[in-house]
Amino acid sequence: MRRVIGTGTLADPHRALSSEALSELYQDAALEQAFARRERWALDGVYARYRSLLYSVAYNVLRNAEDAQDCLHDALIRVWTKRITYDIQRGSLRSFLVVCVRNQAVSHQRVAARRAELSRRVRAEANGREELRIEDFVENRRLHAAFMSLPEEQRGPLVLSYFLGKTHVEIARDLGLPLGTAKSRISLGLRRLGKALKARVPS
Amino acid sequence: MSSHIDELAELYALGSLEAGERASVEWHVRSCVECANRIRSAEETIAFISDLEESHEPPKAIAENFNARLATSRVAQKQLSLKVITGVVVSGLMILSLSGAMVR
Repeated sequence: MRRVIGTGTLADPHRALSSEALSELYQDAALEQAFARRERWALDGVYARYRSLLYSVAYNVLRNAEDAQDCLHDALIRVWTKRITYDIQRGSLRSFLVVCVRNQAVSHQRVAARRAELSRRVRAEANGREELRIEDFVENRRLHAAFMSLPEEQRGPLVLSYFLGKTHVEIARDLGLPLGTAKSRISLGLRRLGKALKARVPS
Repeated sequence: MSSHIDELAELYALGSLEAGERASVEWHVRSCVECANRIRSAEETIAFISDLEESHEPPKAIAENFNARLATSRVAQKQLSLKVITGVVVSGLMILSLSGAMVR
């Protein structure tokens, strides 16, 4: 099952918004404001609106229904009880929640074996022993192509950060890089990946 | 005001910063729209990647399970605050009775 890309304007910057998409944007904005004000109905609204998306985000990392559900609920409760603060000025609630759930999922111990294997592959590529093949971790062809279009020196650090949730300190140590270099490669990698994904308007 | 957070914006969105760095980024973006926008853009890229990944149907009872989780977490919070209040009251009473004993 493929999800329709929702309200992210990033998905298709050239298309004029239909009235349906526009009303969706307004709904999102109203929900964001109420959520930031911590109105109880907004939590239910957010849950109803984003649970499928957020569940999928968790499931794609954890590959287990129960863990995915727990992870989604943990992340939402952390946000709602203000252990992580959502600031409306900072961006869309949808993206913010995706990031929260993802970061929580990658740090879950259930994915330890996958993490170890991916980590091994990144190190092998960095040492010139083999090419990093990430198709086992990225099913979507467009996403896979975007990752593989990155320069090798940015791909490894970004993969360790995005898929394994490692800190830049750990990444620098893993790949034998100075801290500043690891930081800028992760940052450049993510920005370049965003551009590569945006460049191709979905058909 | 300190200088901009620059590349830390992407690392922040990716969850790849150490706790201290996270806190200083959060402090900075309270008053810097430019850096806040850069984080927003990084978060949108991450959300977009998630949109491209496969979608999965949540279990049927997921909403009920969430409400149950929420109820227990609220109960836990209330119990905690009740314990704190009781603790404060009890220690206050103890101090009072001790000082009373000393006066006598």
